[in-house]
Amino acid sequence: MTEKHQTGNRVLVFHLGSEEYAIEVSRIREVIAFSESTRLPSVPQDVLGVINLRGQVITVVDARSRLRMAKQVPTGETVLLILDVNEIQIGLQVDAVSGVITFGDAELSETPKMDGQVASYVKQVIRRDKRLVLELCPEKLLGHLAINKKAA
Amino acid sequence: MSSLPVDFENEIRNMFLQEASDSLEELESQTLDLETSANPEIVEKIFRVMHTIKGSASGVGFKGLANLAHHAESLLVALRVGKRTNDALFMKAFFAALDHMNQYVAGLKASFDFSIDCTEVIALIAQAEHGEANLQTVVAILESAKDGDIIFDTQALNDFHRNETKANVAESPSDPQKKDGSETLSVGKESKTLTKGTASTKEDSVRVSAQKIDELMNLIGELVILQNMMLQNRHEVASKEMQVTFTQLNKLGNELQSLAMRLRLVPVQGTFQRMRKIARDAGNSVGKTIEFKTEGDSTELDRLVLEKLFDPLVHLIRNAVDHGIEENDERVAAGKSVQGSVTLSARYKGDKVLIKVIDDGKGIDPQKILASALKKGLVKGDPARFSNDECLEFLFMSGFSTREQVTSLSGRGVGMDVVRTSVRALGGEIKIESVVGKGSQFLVELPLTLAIIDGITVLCGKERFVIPASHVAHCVRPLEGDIKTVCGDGRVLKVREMTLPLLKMFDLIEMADSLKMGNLAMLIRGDEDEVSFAIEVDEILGRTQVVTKPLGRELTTVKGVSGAAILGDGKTALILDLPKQQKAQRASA
Repeated sequence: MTEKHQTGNRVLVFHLGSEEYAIEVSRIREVIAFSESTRLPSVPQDVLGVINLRGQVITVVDARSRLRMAKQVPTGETVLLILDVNEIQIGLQVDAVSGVITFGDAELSETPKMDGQVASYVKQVIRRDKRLVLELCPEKLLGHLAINKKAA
Repeated sequence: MSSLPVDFENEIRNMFLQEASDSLEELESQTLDLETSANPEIVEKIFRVMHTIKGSASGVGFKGLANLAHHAESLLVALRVGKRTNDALFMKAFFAALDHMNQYVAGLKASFDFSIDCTEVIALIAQAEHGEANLQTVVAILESAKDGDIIFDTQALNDFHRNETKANVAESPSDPQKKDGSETLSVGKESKTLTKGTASTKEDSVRVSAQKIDELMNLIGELVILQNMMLQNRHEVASKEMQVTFTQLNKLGNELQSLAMRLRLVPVQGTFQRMRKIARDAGNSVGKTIEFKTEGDSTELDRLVLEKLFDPLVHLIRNAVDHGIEENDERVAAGKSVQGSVTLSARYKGDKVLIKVIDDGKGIDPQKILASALKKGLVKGDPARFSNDECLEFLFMSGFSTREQVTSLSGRGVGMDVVRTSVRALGGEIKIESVVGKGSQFLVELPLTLAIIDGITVLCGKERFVIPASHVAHCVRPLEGDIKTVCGDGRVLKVREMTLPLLKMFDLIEMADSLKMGNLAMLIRGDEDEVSFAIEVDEILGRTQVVTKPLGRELTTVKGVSGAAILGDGKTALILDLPKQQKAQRASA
């Protein structure tokens, strides 16, 4: 019980420009160095393409375009978070990761007013000192892909 | 924590069902042998398999199935002790039992609560076991069958086990007789050793999930990529010794990869054995005796290819029995043996497998086919311009039938076109060879596996794509005058005597263009084999065997792509299905 509670409150924090976002640690399979995606035809604009992860072909989504930010040329800090969503692995390209934080319920605050669609990806808002971290819900963030269907 | 035992139990049940499918397949083929001779060895083999199914089914709680196995077993005992013979009634009852058990296993795979009404088949078994006279017994058995419990006819079992050695009984861990230290273990040792053919082959194999094999292949694939990189950069290492080591390591890696690839392959044997039953049933339903032979049972094919080949094979076998083999009197008149022969064979042909369905029937008359095709309006023009081979090809046209009367068995000739479509979907090809009066053969050529394709890697702008070699007729470097603009923006390419639409790669696959020159044109084959269009590419990077990987199922909108390949440098490239994409695009335009 206590263990579960703890994992729920541990998130990996990453940056998109000057903003801080986070995803629950238990949902992240691994973090890998940036690797150029192979482009795909007829896909949503935020889908960068596919990469080879140890022999497995994985779809990569650009977190910036998903959150309606301007695209940015990858830097040495750019990484891919490999998320586990309904047994499907999806890469999320982010500017940089800054680490894991564990927070208590007292540090949660109300979701600030934002653009409707982007706001729907936010699970909760963590406030610590002067930092504002938006925790994202992977299912909602990647809801435009067919991630909820069972394998045929 | 409490969920663990349930999971465990379910796992055991699933394992049992998998094994049961194999066992039933084995039983089916042995039962076909039984039909020709009630050889005690065969009976014994069948009994042992049936007994194991019964014990295990009851052990994992599939009472209905266990009960059915029990009745089938009793029937065998009756045969074993000489109370019954392998006559038509016996065979009918036993096959009915197998059919029901197959249904049961298939149903249980979908849901552990599956159940079917077996009253009829059990009645049939009882009838076969006790003869029609002994109605009393039949009724009694039927009543007890309703309870769904297993009745152990100990006397009959003892009769049976008398012929088995102690060791053989002990081999079967699920033997219910063993638990109560029963007398069956000790009786009689006079018997000869049992043939252990199937048992020993089983010991040599291990059941591994396909997923684990895929993971292994993925890792080995990565290993080979790293080794290739090492090999390419080997001159950066001064030591000659290290350089040699790199080369050796690379060889080893390639060998490892081809070995891993073969892990996915399974022998055609199981499928071929099931075809025996199909041929037999087909023969029975049209009143023809068929001698069914198989060759090359140990030839191996990808499990997926084999699964998808099942329906086309059934169709070909039924066709051979129904249309190929003549009626009995016709055969006698033609000086042939009454028994028609149908042979199913498999052998390797390079990196492909050739499967043949051969019959010694009346053969196919090309002129008859032609006449029929002309009559149906499927082909037009001067009949004299078609060669015999071309005429036979008409058989594969949709809605074709040479049979005047439609039979229930192989229908009305829809099907040969479906067979061709299925074979082509597997990357294979089907052909007919036939001699009038002598018989026909259908030749199916298939790739060993769907996991690897022979691909041509091309460069278009910054992107690399893999195009299956089977789609490419050839490549040309067009000269200035070869390309003409038609109707404003359409372009055509004149090559040899053909004028083909010349398409832009990125327009065709509907992808944002990246810089390209397009100084090469690849001529792409359509569905019907003929060259249907040309596509511009910048450069041809090479022709290699590539492992195809599926795109994630989260991507539903991608068109014109059949998968992804991992190239020698570890990067992915899309495998394009250009003919399909062009067809789709034309249809939507």
